[in-house]
Parts: sequence; structure tokens; C-alpha cells
Amino acid sequence: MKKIFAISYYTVKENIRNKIFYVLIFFVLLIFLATLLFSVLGGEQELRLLLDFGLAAIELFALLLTIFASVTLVLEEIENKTIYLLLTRPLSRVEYLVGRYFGILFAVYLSIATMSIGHISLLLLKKWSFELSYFFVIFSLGFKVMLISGIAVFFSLFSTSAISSISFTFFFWLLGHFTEELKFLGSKLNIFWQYPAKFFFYLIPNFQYFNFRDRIQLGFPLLLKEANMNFISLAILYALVYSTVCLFLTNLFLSRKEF
Amino acid sequence: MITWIKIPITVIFLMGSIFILQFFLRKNFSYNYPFFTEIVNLSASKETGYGLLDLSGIIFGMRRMVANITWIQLLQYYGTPEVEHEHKENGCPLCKDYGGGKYYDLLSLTQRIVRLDPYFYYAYLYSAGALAWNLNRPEEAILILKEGIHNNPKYWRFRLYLAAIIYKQLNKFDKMVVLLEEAVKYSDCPSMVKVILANIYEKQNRYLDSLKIWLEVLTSKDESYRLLAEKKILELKRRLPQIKTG
Amino acid sequence: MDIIRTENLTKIYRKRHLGKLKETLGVRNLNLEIREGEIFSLLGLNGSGKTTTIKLLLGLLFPTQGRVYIREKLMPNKEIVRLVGYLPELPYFYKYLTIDELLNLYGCLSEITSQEISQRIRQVLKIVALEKERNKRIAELSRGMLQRVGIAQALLHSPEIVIFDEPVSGLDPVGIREMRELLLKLKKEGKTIFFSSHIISEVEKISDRAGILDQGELVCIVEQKDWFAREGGLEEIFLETIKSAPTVFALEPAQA
Repeated sequence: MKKIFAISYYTVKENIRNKIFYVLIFFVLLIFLATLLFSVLGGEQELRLLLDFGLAAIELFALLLTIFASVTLVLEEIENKTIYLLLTRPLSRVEYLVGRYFGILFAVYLSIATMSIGHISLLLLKKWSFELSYFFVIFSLGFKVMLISGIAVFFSLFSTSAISSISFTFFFWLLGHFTEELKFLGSKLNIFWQYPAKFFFYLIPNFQYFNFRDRIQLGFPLLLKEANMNFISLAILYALVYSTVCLFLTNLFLSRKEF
Repeated sequence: MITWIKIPITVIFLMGSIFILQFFLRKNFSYNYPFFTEIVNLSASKETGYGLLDLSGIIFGMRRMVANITWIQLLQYYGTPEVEHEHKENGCPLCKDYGGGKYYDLLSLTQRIVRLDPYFYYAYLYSAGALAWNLNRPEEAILILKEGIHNNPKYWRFRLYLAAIIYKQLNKFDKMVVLLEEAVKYSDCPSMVKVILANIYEKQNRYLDSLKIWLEVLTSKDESYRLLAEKKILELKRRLPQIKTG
Repeated sequence: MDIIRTENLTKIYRKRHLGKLKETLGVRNLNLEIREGEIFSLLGLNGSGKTTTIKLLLGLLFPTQGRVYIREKLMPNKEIVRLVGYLPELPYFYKYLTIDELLNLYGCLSEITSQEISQRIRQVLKIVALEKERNKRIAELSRGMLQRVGIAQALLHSPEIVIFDEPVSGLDPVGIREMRELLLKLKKEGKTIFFSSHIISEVEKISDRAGILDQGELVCIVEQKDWFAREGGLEEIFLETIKSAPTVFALEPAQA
């Protein structure tokens, strides 16, 4: 456990100094520009635009950070040969993988928290009345990040090039948001194809379970059917189990990988 | 070391857990959004070519964001004079006056917005107001409001607007005004609707009531409304003493 | 007593390209026995299998055939790995961490207790003369400094066995001398040293025994007394061995 923590801790540190720092600067610039733009274009819905734009930007930056950090997690380490000095110590490959995975998650969470603070401050300056549902949205984003990071790590070991891993992960991100539409399409298929379609639908990660940013009505009380503890705890469990499956499969590849 | 017997068992167990969780999650989950073809067909049917934008918004799970972009488009569209009037005559009143054109695409633009985000209440109210009172096409306004009521049966303000528009169609202006007076009491009432009521008051020579409404418009977040309100307030203040003395 | 032992260690790299399986020999039937407390060097030309052997010993590669034992325990073994300190040919580190942070990480992974760790870092940084630079980021260090950090991390957990891959390649004369002195000092402390090199002059100065690898096969093992007894020393033995090995520099027969 101590070793996992050590790897996670230094992964966070490295990522902050390397990638996150630039992401945050870019986010601040973007949000600043958006504020100028929306105060002119948004009319009476300026706050809604700022709120949505900020949340979407936080998610996109978190997504990019997660995908790049997760895909390069092992690939970059093999390429740079930094992995040699880790695996030639009393450290199992599972410990290494889990440590790195948690490190990336913490690093991304930290950047999400920083971006959110910046975003909230801006909204408050614009006389936004604070809503708890904002935290709900950010909280659910955390589970999206957890899922996509697991998928990205898996693809990075499954396919050997960074480009293909990034493409696969990105494709899953889109697919995961499109599942509900796919389900509808699937129901139009003939009976023979319906079962494979259903299996596929259940298998791919469903990001809509965590997409409260798009589905919650900010400014109004939580009206969604799924905004209850029963659903939320199931969704959290789903994200945990799905990520575990990804890490388990990744470890199968990693344990057989030669450096 | 993971022995090879354990691997398939673990995979089956974990995959099984995912399927079981999915089964229970589905029971607690609702996704009440129009199917993507309804939006894409609508956006692609126009020459605007925004089908791809709308589709990417849905695929990225960013319906609200794309609805907002379309909302900006709508404001730009409705806030600028229509091209067909621009070169017809010099000083064409339709070019000068805000909202003075025909704006035939206002309905489809609004439909695009509210099909991307069926819970964008303000968009329904704004477009319904514009269509019913500024462009005098209450049938289209009713269409939008009916869609709003279908998507949000609990949001009763749509019914209030609907009733006001129906009274307008039936030429029962007094009853319409009562409903509009009710509508402007709420914080999410578009300034445009307030302006409509203020103008009605002015036509009815109820300058003081009109002034009260304009003072409210002065707090709008939209600068164009604030400027208009400032102008109108000055104008009404000039008229008010005459009326009193008269 | 043999501290490291390999039994018929064979590594064949298999790569599939466009559906065709391509096999490349890494090492074949390697039978090594490294004695406790000695300096053993592995000599060979580029591509002879030196790095492959080291990676097989450390568990970075899996043998196609054969076994590796360290302290009579079959490798890979997490418990035994902690007895080994490893310096790769070109030490690669995390660019954005400082020397201190990096050693802290490696120390933690090597199971050094948190009370001991700062003391050990101080000790190894003193050995490699990097005490003043400990808060510098890796990205700011020169090639020579990186090599020293590499040594520091290899010695951090006081390993019984030290495995260095080409430790003197790319070093300036002062660096080579310092490395030589370090290896001798480590031997004095009772550590077993296994290193690979193709710089024969250095190998003969410090090694107790040397194994000569040619095209993945261990051709012979030479003892210190053998090269001291012979004119031309180890270099002569090495060249003779390589010459006698078949197919080296062999040209394909010209077409008639």
C-alpha cells in the first residue's frame, strides 16, 4: 500500500509540473475570453452560457488530460525506459499499475478542483446564486474520469501505439455518450440482431449515467428521476467495477509484457 | 502470479457484475430526450448545415452546450435586420427596427434549441413571445409552447403564456394583459415580454404602469434592453407631468 | 558459493510483422555462475546479448527457456529483487522530479523505512558527490550527473548484488576512473558486482572473472590470472575468442 501511495504521489507531482500546469493556464485564458464573448452575445442568458461553457471546458480539459496521461502512462515509460528502475525493485506490476492509475486520477481531480474554483469565482462575480447541484455535476465528472482512465490504460497496453490507443479511447468516450441513442436504434433491428445489440449496449460503458452536467437543470431543483441515492450508489459501483475490469485486463497484458 | 484458471473465472465474475449493475441501473434511469434524428433532420433541412454540430453535441454528451450555441445563433438572427429588406429601399423601417423582419427561421431555430435541450425554459418563452407579439404569428408560438408543455408538464408558466396568446388570437386583450401581468412577475420572464407589456400599457395611455415595467427592464442583463429602457424612461418621465397637469 | 546462477538461459525475440513471424536470438543456453563477492564482467561486441542477459537476470525479460537463480531462489522473486541494485546503460529518470524526490520514490519502493530513507539518501549523494544538487530537477542535470544519480539509486538500498549495464561507456577519463574506484570500493564492502562492457581495458583492471559473449552464446569464462599471465592481456584473449567464433564478419559467398 505504501508503494502504491508513493507511486501515486510522485505521479501527481510529475503531472502537475508537466501537463496540468499548462492545461490550467489554457483554461484560465479560455474562460476569460468566453466571459468577454458571452457578456456581448449571451443576452439575458449570459450566466447560463458561462455556467455551461465552463463546465464543458472543465470536462474537456479533464478528458484530454486523462486520456493523454493514461495512454502515455505505460507507453511513455517504456519508451523513456524509466520503467526499468521501478520494475527492478520489489514492486509487483499490479502495484505499479494501480499506483500509476490512482496518481493520474488524483492529478486530474486536482486540476478539476482548481478549474472549478476558478469557474465558481467567476460565476459569483457575475452574481450567480450558488447551487449545490454544481458540486453534483463535478462529482459525477469524477466517475467519468475514473472510467475513461481505466479504458485508456487498457487500450495503451492492448494496442502498442499511442495514436491508436488515444483514438480507441476517444471513440469509447463518444460511444459511451451515444449509448442511449444506440439503444433506440437497436430496438429497430430485427429480432435476430436485437440480442447481440443488447449485449453490446450493456457491455460498453454508459457515460450518460454520469452526465449530470448535460442533464441536470441548473437553476432548478433536482428533478431527474435518477438523482436519488439508489441510482447514485449503483452508478458509483458501476464505475468502480468497470474500472477494476479494465485494470484487471490491463494487468494481464502488463504481467506478460517484456521491457 | 495470476494462475490461468483464476483469470477466466475473475473475468466472468467481473463482467457478470457489470451486467447485473446495468440491469438495476436501467430501472432507475430515464433519458427523456428527442431522438437525435429529430434534431439532425431539422438542422440539416436548412441550408445552415448545422446537422454535424448538433450531432456532435449529442455524441459528446453536450446537448446543453450546443443548444447554447444555437441560442446565440437565434439571438444573432433575430437581433439583426433581415437581408431581404436591407437593399430594397433606403431607410427601410424593417431594417431599423429590432425584430421588424419576418424571421421565418425563428421557429425552426427554436425547435432545434429545445430538441437539443428540452429543458431550456427561457428559449421557449422568448421565442413564443417574439412570435406571438412581435411577429404576429401566434400559431407558431403555440406550437413551441405546446412542445414545451409536452416536455415539461410541471412548468406551468408555459400554460400562462399559451393562455395569453390564445386571448390575443381571440382579441380578448384585457384578459391577455392580465395574464401578461402575471407573467412579468417571475424572474425568468424574458425582458422582451416585459417590453411587450410596457408597450401595450403605453398604447393604452397607462404611462405610469409602463414606466414601472421599464424600470424593471433596466435591471436586465442584456445591454440592448437596458439602453432601450433608459431611453423609454426618459421619454415617459417627460410625458408624465403633462398627463398629471392635464 | 554462487550468488547468481543461470541454467540453459535462452531468449529468442519473436516479432510478428505482416503475418510473418520473425525470430531473433538474444542469448542461447547461457550457463553462468557468479560467486559471492566477486567482480564479474560480461564482455561482448554490440548486439552480443549482454543487455539481454542483464534484463533476464532482473526479470525485465522472460526467458524462452532456462532459469535464473539468485541466492538459489528462482527468479523473478520479489523478495530477492531487493538484494539487487541496477544501473541501466543510460539512466532514464522522471524529468520533472528533483534528485531528492526521485531517490525518495526509489527508496520507498525498495522498502527502506521512512526513518532510514533520508539518511541513506544523504549517504549515497555523498558517494556520488551530488549533495549540493539534491534539489535540482532531473531535466537540469548534465549527462555525467545523470550517471551519478543512476549510481545513487542503485546503491540506495545497500544491495548485496550490483548489476551495472555498460557503466563506463560515454564517460570521460575522470568519470571512468571514479567508476573504477567505486566498483573496487563496493567489492571491498563485500558486494557482488556484475557488469557488462565492451571496454576491455577497464574490465581487466578490476574484474575477477570475465565471460565472453558472442552472438548470444557464452564462448568462455576467463579468470584474472589467465589474462595477467598472458601477453596482450584480456584484449588478446577476447579477440582470439571472437575470431575463432564462426560467422563473425563472414561475408556471403560471391555469386559466380
